[in-house]
Amino acid sequence: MRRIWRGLKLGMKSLLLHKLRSGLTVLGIVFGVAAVISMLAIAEGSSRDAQERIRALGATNIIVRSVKPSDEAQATGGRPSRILNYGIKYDDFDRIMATVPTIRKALPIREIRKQVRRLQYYLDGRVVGTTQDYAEFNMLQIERGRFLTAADNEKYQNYAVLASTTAKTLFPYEDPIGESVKLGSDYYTVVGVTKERESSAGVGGSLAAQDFNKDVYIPLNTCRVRFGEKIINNRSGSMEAEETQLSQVTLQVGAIDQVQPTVPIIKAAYERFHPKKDVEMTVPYDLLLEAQRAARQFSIILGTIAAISLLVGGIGIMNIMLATVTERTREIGIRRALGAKRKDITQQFLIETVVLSGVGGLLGVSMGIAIPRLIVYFIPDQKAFVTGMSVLLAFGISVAVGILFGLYPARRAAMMDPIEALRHE
Amino acid sequence: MDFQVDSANRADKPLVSIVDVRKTYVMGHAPSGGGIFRRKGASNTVTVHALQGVSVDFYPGEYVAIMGASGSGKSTMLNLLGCLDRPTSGQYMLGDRDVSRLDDDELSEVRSRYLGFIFQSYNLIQQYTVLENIQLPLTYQGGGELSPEAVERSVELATMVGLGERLDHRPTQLSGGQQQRVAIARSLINDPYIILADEATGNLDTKTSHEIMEMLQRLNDAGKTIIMVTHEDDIAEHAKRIIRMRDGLIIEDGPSPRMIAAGQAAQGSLAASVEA
Repeated sequence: MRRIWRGLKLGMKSLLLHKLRSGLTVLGIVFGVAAVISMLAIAEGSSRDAQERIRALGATNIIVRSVKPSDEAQATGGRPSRILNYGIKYDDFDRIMATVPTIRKALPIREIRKQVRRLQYYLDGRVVGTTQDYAEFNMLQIERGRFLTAADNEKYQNYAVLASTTAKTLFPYEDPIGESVKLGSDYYTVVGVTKERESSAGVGGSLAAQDFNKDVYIPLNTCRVRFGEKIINNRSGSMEAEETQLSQVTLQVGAIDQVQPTVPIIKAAYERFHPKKDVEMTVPYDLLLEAQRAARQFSIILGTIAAISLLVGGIGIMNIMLATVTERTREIGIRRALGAKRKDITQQFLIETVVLSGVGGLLGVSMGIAIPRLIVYFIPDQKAFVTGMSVLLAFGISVAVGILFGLYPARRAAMMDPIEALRHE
Repeated sequence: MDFQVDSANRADKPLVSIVDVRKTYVMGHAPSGGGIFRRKGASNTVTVHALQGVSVDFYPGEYVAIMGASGSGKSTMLNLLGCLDRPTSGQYMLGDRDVSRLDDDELSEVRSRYLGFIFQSYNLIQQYTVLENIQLPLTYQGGGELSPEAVERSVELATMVGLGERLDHRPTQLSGGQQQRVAIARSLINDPYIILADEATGNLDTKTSHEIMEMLQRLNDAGKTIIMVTHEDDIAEHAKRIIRMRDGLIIEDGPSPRMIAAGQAAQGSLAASVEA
């Protein structure tokens, strides 16, 4: 150990003899290591970001949504009806609940675009007819008051829970609890206000971004009887009518490994009754798997690119060490004459390369930790996360590169004939 | 007429004993390998017989100069004596040990413990200080950090060669004579059996050469065995014994003119006292 320490000290002296050369050699490793760490940090950050967004949807959830069928699909439905009838029916919901045993909880949702009014204040928000589980499913937190309850639904109560923006717009100065808001032609009593929640991003292109802050939540049964199933939009002379029963049903299974077996059963339960493809299923768990797969590929690609730059750095080290060995042939001869064994010479040159790559590795690690911070600072959307694993990996590779690429020059130095080496000018 | 000055040592066992040592080099293509077109027996190699059967003994406390023209085999001789090379045949006894058949690591061990080298071009390590250069042979004797005694000894040696004030200097900051004195100190650090000097004054001016030779003389007076290779007669005259080589053989081995003169003077005075 002390022997190695002395070797390190003397090795440093040899390296400091050519400061510029050693510095430039180290630089190759520095950039290699920094590249590995920061690229993996960005890959990891992006992956975590995506996974977090997907987890926010709930990994044990299966989302069944109503979609407006395309024009062609409508045309094949025979004589175009004046009222466009599509989407999930209450029958579908009941059928799914009756036939799929793994479902633990279900959340039916009816969404309607409506103006919400109170006195002179109004907001073009989203009225969500739902049940008491909505808050839990969507990770909504209550700021004041309470969320809807099962009893509200059963009793067809005219109660409403306001989302944060809705509450602020309609009640700029007052406490909304106990006050009334007007939806359509009826008044609803406000029983609660939810906390602000970041909108969930569309993941994998299958889910639209959802803004939860302009919502008004009312019991599903109330929604059903007050608004009916037909929505009529009058638009500059033409009339469009749509008929839907449920906008979305979120189904939750008990455990994550039940997700994939449950999916085909649910599909079978509704698919036969919707030939127009007006119902779609989104499985966040699949998206999660896909995101993980994508993240892994991303990491591999970035990691490979970075590893190649580290390899180039290693070749740089080898090149310099070979030149150094040639240049210091005489020194090798002197050392051999004075009693250095072959392994002493190997060790000396190996220590020098490992010092080069190790110093480069350390500098590279600090740079690799700094770069992702800079990137995040300048590109706020980008997430980056430096894992301890990537730091260890990059530093380990750099030292390994030092040993690997130092071994050949060191062996070459050691195998020199001392007499020849001494004669070398 | 006897070689009186060394008569006491002559009685001792030889320090170095070389018996019928031969060294041949094969130049050109090595016989190993060879393609399919290579005919059997065909050889485009040249065999050089650098030493053709040399036998010589060296005794403790001797001061020997090996002389000869280039190609005479004196460098090969020194390389063999310095355990930098192995003889093709013959025996080389260093003390009680046959070192002619040792492997590379064992030869390194012998060099680091029993031999001191002084080279024509000083051969100091440029990036090391005077002190580190002097300590260098010790670092190859195994063990880690140098012992305090070893450090003390290296400082003593540096002071002895007159560089006690320049321990932290680098070789490039020293004159040729000073560098060679560092080399002498380095050759003494392991308290060697023999100091081998290869044209030690070849790169120095006359005055500095003289200083260096005086220093070697003092070392020999203190009991060190010195074998040097030179082609300069006036340098060789400092030695007590001169060996002349030609074509890989020793052609002359005897006391140096200085010793003959001293011997004659001694005999003369003896004769005079007898006469008186």
